Amino acid sequence: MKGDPRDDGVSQAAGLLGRAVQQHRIYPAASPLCLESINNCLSALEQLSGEALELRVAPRQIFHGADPLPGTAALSELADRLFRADVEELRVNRETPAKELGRFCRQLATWDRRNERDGSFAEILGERGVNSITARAADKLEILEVDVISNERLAQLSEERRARAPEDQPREGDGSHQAWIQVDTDCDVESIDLVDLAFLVENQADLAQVLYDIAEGGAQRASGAEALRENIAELIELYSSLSPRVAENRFDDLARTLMTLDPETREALTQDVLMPDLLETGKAARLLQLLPDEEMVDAIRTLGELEVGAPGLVKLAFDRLALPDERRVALARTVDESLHPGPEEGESDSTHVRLSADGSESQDLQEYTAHELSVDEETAAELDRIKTAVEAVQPAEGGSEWLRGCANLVRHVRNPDHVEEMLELAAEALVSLIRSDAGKAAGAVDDLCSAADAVRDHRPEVAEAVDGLMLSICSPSFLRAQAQDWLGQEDPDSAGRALLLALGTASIEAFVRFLDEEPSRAVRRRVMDFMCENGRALAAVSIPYLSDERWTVVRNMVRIIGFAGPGHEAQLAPLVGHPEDRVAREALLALARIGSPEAAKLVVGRLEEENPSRRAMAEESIRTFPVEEGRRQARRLLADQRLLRRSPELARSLVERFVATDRTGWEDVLSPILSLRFRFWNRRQMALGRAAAAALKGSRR
Amino acid sequence: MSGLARDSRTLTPLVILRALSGLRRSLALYPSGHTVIEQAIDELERVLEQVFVEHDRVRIELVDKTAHLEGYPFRVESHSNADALEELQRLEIECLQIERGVERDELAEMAGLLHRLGDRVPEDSMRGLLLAEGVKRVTMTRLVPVETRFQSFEWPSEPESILEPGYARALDDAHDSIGAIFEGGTPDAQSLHQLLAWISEQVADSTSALSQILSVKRYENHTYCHSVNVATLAMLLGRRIGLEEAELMSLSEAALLHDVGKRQIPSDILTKPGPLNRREWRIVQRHPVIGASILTRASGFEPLTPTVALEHHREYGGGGYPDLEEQRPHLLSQIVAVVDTYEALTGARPYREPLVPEEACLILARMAGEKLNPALVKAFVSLVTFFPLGSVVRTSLGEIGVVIDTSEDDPLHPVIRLGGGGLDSPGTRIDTADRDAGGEYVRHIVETLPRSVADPDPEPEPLAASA
Repeated sequence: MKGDPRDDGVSQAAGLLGRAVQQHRIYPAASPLCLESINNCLSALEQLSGEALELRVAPRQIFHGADPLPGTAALSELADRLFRADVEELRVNRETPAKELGRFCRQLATWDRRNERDGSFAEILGERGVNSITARAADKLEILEVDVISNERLAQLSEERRARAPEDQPREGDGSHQAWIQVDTDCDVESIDLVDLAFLVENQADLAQVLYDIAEGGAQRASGAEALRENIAELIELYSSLSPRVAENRFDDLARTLMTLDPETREALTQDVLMPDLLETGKAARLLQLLPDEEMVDAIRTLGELEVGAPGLVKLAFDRLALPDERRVALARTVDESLHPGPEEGESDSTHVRLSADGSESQDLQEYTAHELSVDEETAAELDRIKTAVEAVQPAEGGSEWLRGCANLVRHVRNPDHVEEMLELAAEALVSLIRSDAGKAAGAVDDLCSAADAVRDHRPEVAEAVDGLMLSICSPSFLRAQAQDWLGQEDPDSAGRALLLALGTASIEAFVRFLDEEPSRAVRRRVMDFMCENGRALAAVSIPYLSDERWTVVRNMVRIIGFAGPGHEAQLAPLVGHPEDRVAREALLALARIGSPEAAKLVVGRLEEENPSRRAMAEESIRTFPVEEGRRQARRLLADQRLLRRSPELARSLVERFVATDRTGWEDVLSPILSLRFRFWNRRQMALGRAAAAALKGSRR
Repeated sequence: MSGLARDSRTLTPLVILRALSGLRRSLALYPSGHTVIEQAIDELERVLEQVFVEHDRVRIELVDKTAHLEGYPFRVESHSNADALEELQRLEIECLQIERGVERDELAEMAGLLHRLGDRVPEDSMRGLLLAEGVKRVTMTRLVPVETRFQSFEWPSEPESILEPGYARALDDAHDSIGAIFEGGTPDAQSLHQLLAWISEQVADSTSALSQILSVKRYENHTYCHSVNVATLAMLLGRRIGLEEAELMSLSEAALLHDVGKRQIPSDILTKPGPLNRREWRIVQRHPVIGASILTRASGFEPLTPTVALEHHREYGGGGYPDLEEQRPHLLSQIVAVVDTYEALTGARPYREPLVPEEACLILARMAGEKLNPALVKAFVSLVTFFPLGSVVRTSLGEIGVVIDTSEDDPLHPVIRLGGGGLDSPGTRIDTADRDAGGEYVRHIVETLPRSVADPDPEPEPLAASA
C-alpha cells in the first residue's frame, strides 16, 4: 500500500497513538507532554479518510488490513502492549474525544495481567468511559494441563461411563466449551465432560488445579493447597457422580489428602465447605465418614455455635453422616459430652439436641424444626424497631442517605464520566442539605472526601473531581453565610465547625478567594474571626499556604494557625524572620497565643533582634502570652540585667501584666529591681523600679 | 500456562511451523545428510533455542486454521504459513509440543516421520510412532473440548401455565419499561411508578398472583420477571412489618430496580448455561455498582433507590459485595436482600432446578444472622410459610393435597384440602397441626409436589386471611 495516501495517514495516526501510550507510561496524564501527544494523535485521526483507525495486533507488529505498518519503536511498544492485553483488533474512531483517548492511553500504559481479575482490557475500556475506542479480545484457547489421554485410558472411560448412574450423566448442552485437553491422535472421542475428567485425572491435586484453571479462565494461578481449598466442593460433587467403586477410591484419597493439610486449613475447610455441603446436599458425608473419629467430632462440633439459632442442627448433620451403628453410638456420646457437658440425657436446658437420644420426628422435618422461625416477642419488637427506623428517614435525611450512597459509589464506579455526573447531582444535594442540616452535611462531605482519598492513588481524576465539588460548594459566599450562622457558637462540636473540618482544604481555598473578593472590612473581619475560632480544625489544611507567594495569604494562615494551640510551632518558626514585617509580627503573635514553652522560646529569642522594629514586635508579643507561660517567661526575663537595661518598658509591662495577676512569690525577682526607682536620670528605668515596688508592696500585703 | 506467548518478542508459532515445514520439504528433495537438510535442521534448532532460553517447552495448537502458542492465537498471514499449518492438520495433529533438551536427531526423525506419512493419517498414535523412532521430547496429539458444565437446563422463555391476568400485565409492562433500561435507556420514573401502582393494587393483593410468585417458577427467570416478583414480595414484607404507604412505595421502587445494573453484564454471562467461573462471577458482581450508578444519575426516584441497588448483595454481618468496609446495609436493602434471595432460589436457573418454597425457606433460615437480618427472615417465612397457599404437598400418611391455610404459630403444619380442584370443589379439609391423644402430630408434610399432580390451576383462599 505504499504510495497510498490513506496508508500514510494510518501509519502516522498509529505511530502517534503509540507515542501517546509511551508518554503516558512515562509522564503523568496531566503533564504537558501527555497532553501534547494526545492532541497530536487527535489531529492525525482527523486527517484519516475513513471513519476510524482500524488496526490488527500481532506480537511486535501492527497490521492495517493485511499490511504491516512500519516497525517504529512506538508502534512496536503499542503492538507489544496490546498483545499483552490480549487485544486482537483495535478500532479508534476519528472523532474520539481527547479525554477518552487519554484514558485509553493511561489504561494501556498501566495494564497488568493482574488487572484481568476484573475483566479483560477490552471489557474494562467500556467501563472506564472509553466508548469511542473498541478493542476486540483475542480468542484464547484454554489448554488444561492434563497428561495426554491414551486410547487405553479412553476405553476405561467408556466402561466407567456405563457404570455410572444414569441421573449422573451430564445433560446435553449447547456445545460450547471452555477448555481443551490433549488425546492421542488415534483416539475416537469428540468431547468429554467434567465427570470424565474426574475419572481421567486420578491425582486430586492435579484435578483441583485443573478445576481452578477452568474457574479462573486462566487469569490466576494457585498453589496446590489453594486449588484444593477452592475446589473441594466441586471435587466432592464430581466424585459423587462417578461409579461407586471409583468414587470410593477417590474419596479415600481425598480423605487422606485432607488429613495431610495443616490443622488450620483443614478446620477452615470443614467449617466453610464440608459442613455446609453436608447440610445442603449431603454429598460431603462420603468424605467426612472417612475421617478419623477425632476429626469427625471436631467437624461436628463446628456446628455447635449454630445450635443457638437452630436447635437440632448438630443432630441433623450427624444423622446425615449415616455412620454404622457402633461408630455412631460411640461418636454421639463424645459429641454430646463436648457440646453439653453436665446434664443427663433427656434434660433440655440447652439448645443442643442430644445425639445419643433417639429422635422420633420425621427425618424430612428435622432441619425445618431445627430453625427457630416463629415470630416471638423479641422478633416482633425488632420488627417494630425496623418499622420505626425506616419511617424515621425524613426527606432531608433521604438526601443524606443519597449522598452516603453516592460516596460509596465514587469508590467503585469506574467510568469517570459517570462519577462527574453523580458529583454534579451531589453538589445540588449537598447545598440543600447544608441549608437543612449542617451536621448531616458535614457527615456527607466527610464521606465524599474519604472516598476521594481512598481512590486518590489509583484514580486521581475521580479524587480531583471530588476536590472540585468541594471547591464549588465552599465558595466565598458560603463562608460568609457560615460565619453569619456559626460565629461565636461556643459548642466546640458545632455543626458549622464539623462542616468546616470536613471541607478541609476547600474551606481554606474559599477563604483565600474570599479575602480577595470581599470589599467590606467588617465582613472580612467577621469571617476571619470565624476561621480563627475554628483554627484547631483548619490548622492542618492551612499549613501548605504558609509558603504562598502572597504575604497577605501567609499572614492570614499564620493567624488561623495561631488559634490552633500547641503543635504548630515548627511551622511558624521560620516565619518570624519573614521579610514582610506584617507576617513576622503575626507569626510572633501566633506563637505567643500558642504560648507553649517551645513557642515562648522562639518569641523570647527575638528580643535579641538588632532591628528595633522587629525587637519591638517580639516585646509586643510577649505581653500577649497566656498567663502561666507569661509568668514563667517574665520571671526569667526580669532576672536578666541586660534586658532591664535595654528594654525597661518591656520589663515594666511584664511586671504590670504578669505580677499583677498573682503577686505571691515575686520578692526574689523584684527586689533587685527596686533600686531602679531612684535612677532619676533614666525615667524609663525609674518607672520600672516604681512598678516593681508597687507590685512588691501588693505581694507583701 | 507458561508466559511464553506473552514474553515472546519475535517468536510466533508460525516461525516454528515454517521451519518444520522447510525441513520436511528438504527431506523430500535431498538425501539424508545433505547440506540443505542440515541447514533446515539448523534453522529449526535456532528457532527453538530462542524458546528454551527461558522456557521448558513450546506448545503449538492448531485449531480452525489458526495457530496458537500456549493458547494465544496468531493469525496466519501468508500462504506459506497456511501450508505449514495444514500439513500437520491433514495428519489430524492439533497440538505439537517440543521440550527443552530435544536433540538434533530427534528433530530429524520427527521431520522424517512426517515426510514418510505424507498426507496419510496413521492408524497408530503419533505419540507411539515418535517414540518408536526414538523421539522422546516431541509429542503430537489431538485436542478434545472439555464440556465444563456440571449440568445445564433449558427452561421455557415464558411460563407454560396461564398466569393470573393482573400479574401477566405487570410482567408485560415490566418487560417494556425494564427492557427499555436494558437497551440503554434512562429509567423512566413515570412508567415505573405506574407499574408499581399496578403491582400494589392488582398483584400484591391477588392470592392467585401471589401463589404464582411464591411457588416454584419453572421458566426462564428474566430480570424483568424477577424484578416484578421481588417488588411484590418486598411490598408484602413491608406490609407485614407495618410500613406506611410512602415507605412501601420507596421500598417497592427500590426492589423493582435493584437489578438494573445487570444491563451492562454481557448477556452470554447472564444466560450462561452453567455455573459461572470466577472471572465471570467477578463481572456479575459489578452489577450493584452499575445499577446504583444508573439510578443515582437518573431523576424522579426515591433517594434510597440507588442505595438498595448498591447494597442488595451486602450481608447483614457486613460481608458480601461490593466491599463497603463492613457497613451494615440500610434496612430497605436488608428487606430487599431477603425477598431477592427467596425469589432467586425459587426461580429457574440454567444450572439448576428451582427450589420448592420449603427448601428456599430453609436456606433463608440458614442465612439468617450472618447474611440476612434474622427478624426479617422470620417475618418473611411466617408470611409466605414453608408451604405457600396453593402448594401441592404430600403428607407423611401419603395424602396429597393443596395448602389452603397456614398458621404463623406453626408454619410447618398448614391446612390442606385433599385432592385437586378449585377452592369450592369438594375435598376433605385436613389440619395437619392436629395431634393425637399423646400430643404427637398425626401427620407431617413431607414434600412439595409439582402443581400438575393435583390441579393445574388451584385457587386458594386469600392470603390476607392467613397473613
